[in-house]
Amino acid sequence: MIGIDSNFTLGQLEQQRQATLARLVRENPDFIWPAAGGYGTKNKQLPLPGVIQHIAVIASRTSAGWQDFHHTLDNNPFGYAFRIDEYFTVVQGENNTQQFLSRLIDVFNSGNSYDAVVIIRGGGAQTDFLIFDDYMIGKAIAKFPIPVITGIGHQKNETIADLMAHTPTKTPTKAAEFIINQNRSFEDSVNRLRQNIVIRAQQQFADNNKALNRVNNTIINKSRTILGRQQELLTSAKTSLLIHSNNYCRNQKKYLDHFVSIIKIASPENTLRRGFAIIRSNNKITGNPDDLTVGKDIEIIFANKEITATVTAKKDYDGTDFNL
Amino acid sequence: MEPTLTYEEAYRELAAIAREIESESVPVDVLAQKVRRASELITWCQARLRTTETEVNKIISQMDKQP
Repeated sequence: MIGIDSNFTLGQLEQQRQATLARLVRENPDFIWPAAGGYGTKNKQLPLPGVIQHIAVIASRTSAGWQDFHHTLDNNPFGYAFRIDEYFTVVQGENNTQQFLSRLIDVFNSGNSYDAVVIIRGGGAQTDFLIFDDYMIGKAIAKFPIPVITGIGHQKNETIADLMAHTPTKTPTKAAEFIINQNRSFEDSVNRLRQNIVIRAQQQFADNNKALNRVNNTIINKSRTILGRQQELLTSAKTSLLIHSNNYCRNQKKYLDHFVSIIKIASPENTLRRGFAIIRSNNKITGNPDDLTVGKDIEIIFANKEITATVTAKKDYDGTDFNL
Repeated sequence: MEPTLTYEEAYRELAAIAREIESESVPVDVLAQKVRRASELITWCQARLRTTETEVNKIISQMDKQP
């Protein structure tokens, strides 16, 4: 590169880059198209796996960028393990385009289901990036069926490779950090789900317990109420039965007593005690004066005495002595 | 208790008995029978809930032991 005016060269290079981008869009409308803030590509549309573990790396064996990338992944603070397959190539200089492309094809043909392909490079002059502005490489990345992450280590403009890739990062270290963060987000979301499950499960136990207790209390209280009410009804029925039967008995007893007193009053003893007497003739009680003829012996019975008498006279009696 | 009974079924039956008793539409003749059934269902549901809770807590604590 000695003897070339670098300002002139960079101006030329930029023109060439714009031309390449225009050609990429023009010739590959199926997988490259202009989009807000850059370009849309088929590769960008691929879903990035939640966990990136199996990685194909296209890098230069001796580059510092490869070491940085490897080191950052190996020493991640979360203890994530990675399976990294290396696809070494020379990643600078236009002339190595074909070698780079064949490494990309090796990745595709490996039969491994990589989570991502990482293209890294570290150090070098601005013109060393020319390979990443190559039409064929841009096209291959845009169309590649595995998400491509770049960490090319440029300072100024993004290379065409960056523009076509799924996720461009500035440096190999940043590419590694992006992968670790992606995994970290996944783990965080799993932890959040776990937390939710714990909370929901406990909530559900609490709800079910509450519902059971509520039903339990309802049944206990209501059963008691029902039984209590029936008990009350029974008690009041019993009480009224008692009262009424007592009254009934008392009334019946009163009627009986009344008859007893009537009967007592009417008994011969009481009648005799009141001054009446019973007359007996021929061993028969009689109230008929026709049975008593003059000269006949009769017995006159008082309450506690018996007199034997003879009928001496008999005449009619008008019965007015007792007229009260 | 029926071997095929699920918690949902048991709870539904329980709630139905509770509703009947609550509305006092249970004749005294079958009240004891209903309350006995309800009591069995509650015991069964509580046991079921407790077993599941213990199991879940065990799983959760195992989950927590993992890094």
